[in-house]
Amino acid sequence: MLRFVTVRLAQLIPVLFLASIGIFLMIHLVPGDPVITVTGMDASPEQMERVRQELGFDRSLPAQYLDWLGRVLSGDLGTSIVNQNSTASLITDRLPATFQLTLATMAIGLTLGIPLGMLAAARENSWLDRVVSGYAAVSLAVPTFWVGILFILLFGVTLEWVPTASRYVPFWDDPVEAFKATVGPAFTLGFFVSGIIARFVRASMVEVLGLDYIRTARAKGVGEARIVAKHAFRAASLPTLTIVGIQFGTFLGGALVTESVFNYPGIGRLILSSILQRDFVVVQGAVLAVVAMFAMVNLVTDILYSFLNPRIRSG
Amino acid sequence: MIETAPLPASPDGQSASPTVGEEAVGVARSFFRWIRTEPPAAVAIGFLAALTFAAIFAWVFAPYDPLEQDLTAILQGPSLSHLFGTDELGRDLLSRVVFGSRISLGTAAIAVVVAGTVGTLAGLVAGYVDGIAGAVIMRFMDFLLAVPGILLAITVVAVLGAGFGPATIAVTVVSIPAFARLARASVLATKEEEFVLSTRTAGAGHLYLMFQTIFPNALSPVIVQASVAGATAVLLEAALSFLGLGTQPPEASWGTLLSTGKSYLRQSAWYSVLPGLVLTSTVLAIDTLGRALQRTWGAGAADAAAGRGG
Repeated sequence: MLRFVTVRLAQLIPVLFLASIGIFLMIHLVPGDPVITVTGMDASPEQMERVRQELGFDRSLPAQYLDWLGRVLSGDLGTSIVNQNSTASLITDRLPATFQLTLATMAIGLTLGIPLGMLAAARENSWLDRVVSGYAAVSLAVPTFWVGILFILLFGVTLEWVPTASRYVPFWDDPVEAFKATVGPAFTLGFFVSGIIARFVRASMVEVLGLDYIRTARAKGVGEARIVAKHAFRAASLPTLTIVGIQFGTFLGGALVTESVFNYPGIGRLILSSILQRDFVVVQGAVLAVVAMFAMVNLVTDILYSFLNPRIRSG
Repeated sequence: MIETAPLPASPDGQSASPTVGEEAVGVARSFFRWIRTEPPAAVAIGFLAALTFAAIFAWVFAPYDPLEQDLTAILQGPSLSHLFGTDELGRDLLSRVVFGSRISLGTAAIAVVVAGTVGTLAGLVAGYVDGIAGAVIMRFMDFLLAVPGILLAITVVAVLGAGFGPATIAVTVVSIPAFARLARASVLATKEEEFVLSTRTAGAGHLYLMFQTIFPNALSPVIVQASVAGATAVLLEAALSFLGLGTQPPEASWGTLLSTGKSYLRQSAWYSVLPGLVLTSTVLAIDTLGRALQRTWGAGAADAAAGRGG
């Protein structure tokens, strides 16, 4: 087990290293001078030269990269060139909001997805099964921003149950307000995830339901409901865990579109607004942080999976 | 050799050199036999054909000039003279949706063709050469996959600037790695098969082995992946335009229509409902077609969920 964890951890290093080079190059090949972002359009050439030196732009790309990498490794993600905040503090400010949204998303996704997947598997090839697979197909095809707009239209504008623009209210401060402020983006993303989860639960349960030990249980007279709910679901929960992990990682940094539909102040919006303001320091640091989090969550999922299913480790 | 309801482009359906005319008839016949076994695919193909037709001949199908303003009739709901209603400048929304289909389908077509070619080639080479070159190619693909799709697309647009061209390039870049992985996997699966080894022993060169012997076996998963990638491309383009990073006003794309429509939810709900419905139907149709192909061929493709959401 320890060896497996070590190997997986070691595999993470080259990916993150390559990601850091990729992100750095992408940002530094941007046409348009980031110096102007700092000084404004009508700065004197001397001013611009001074800022250029402060930012280290007068040196070669490899030198700049090594410098950046060195500071990142010591925990310094740089300072925003737009508002002088440290990138790390900008990220940690947004992290609770993103975390709350991701948890709510997964809660909604699992609550919808698991029962749908179980039902579909228990009644394989019935009309119910087809309805569930149609639901999954729609949830994957519908753009999240349109679901968000429809949600605002129905619950915000028409019924006036929730505010039309979201904000972050910590759950422990005010559960009711937090629910109202989070339910829109969480439902939008949760609907998307629920289709994926339903598909996975169905596929793995159908597989398990055809196995010998299920037949044995049936032969012993165990009720069908108990077989589906207890035996088959336990086996099917493993593959589901993987997909939940991957989605969790994605939403930690990738909910850019949904967050901007609802004006929700998460990490996605931080990255989007930094890109629009050409704040390359924050973009660079935040994207790297997101990729690292994404990779870490995948790693933890892998380890958890192998812990629960020892057959994986040898393979 | 052919078991059930074969498809025209089925890679294992090699027949004994018929004439071009006979082949075309045969292809058409097996296509119609197949489509009868897959009613959802028939509906999807019908919808996509109609949409493509409308996109190509947009100036015929659009009832109005998509840029023509009529300030006496702004933000109207659907009516007989404006089936989808009008926007904030009194432009006909149906016409704007019809012209927007050119952007959606255009981006998807370019992205699938370019990413499919580049990705498949990269995967073929990476699987065939193995060694350092193969490892470098695949690590680069791993990097592209390590960044969530929409984030990667936005970063590319940030580098290139907003617009139709940059958005199309961004969507293409995001689509490449899935093709590469798929092509590499099927090369690795067939490389040591006897028919490949015997062709090699017979003196075939590397290029012949790669493209004539190995590639045909990778064709069906690549075609299935093309449909998945096409649907994802439509979604990504719409998302970029929604964020203001794709097609710029006054031209209309489905994403920009929804983003402007969102500002007028109280005045005109239809403004954001109808373009979204067309967008969703398009993605659903491409996905449905892809799943039908996948059922028929039993071919694997990357998970449709990858690169979506967010």
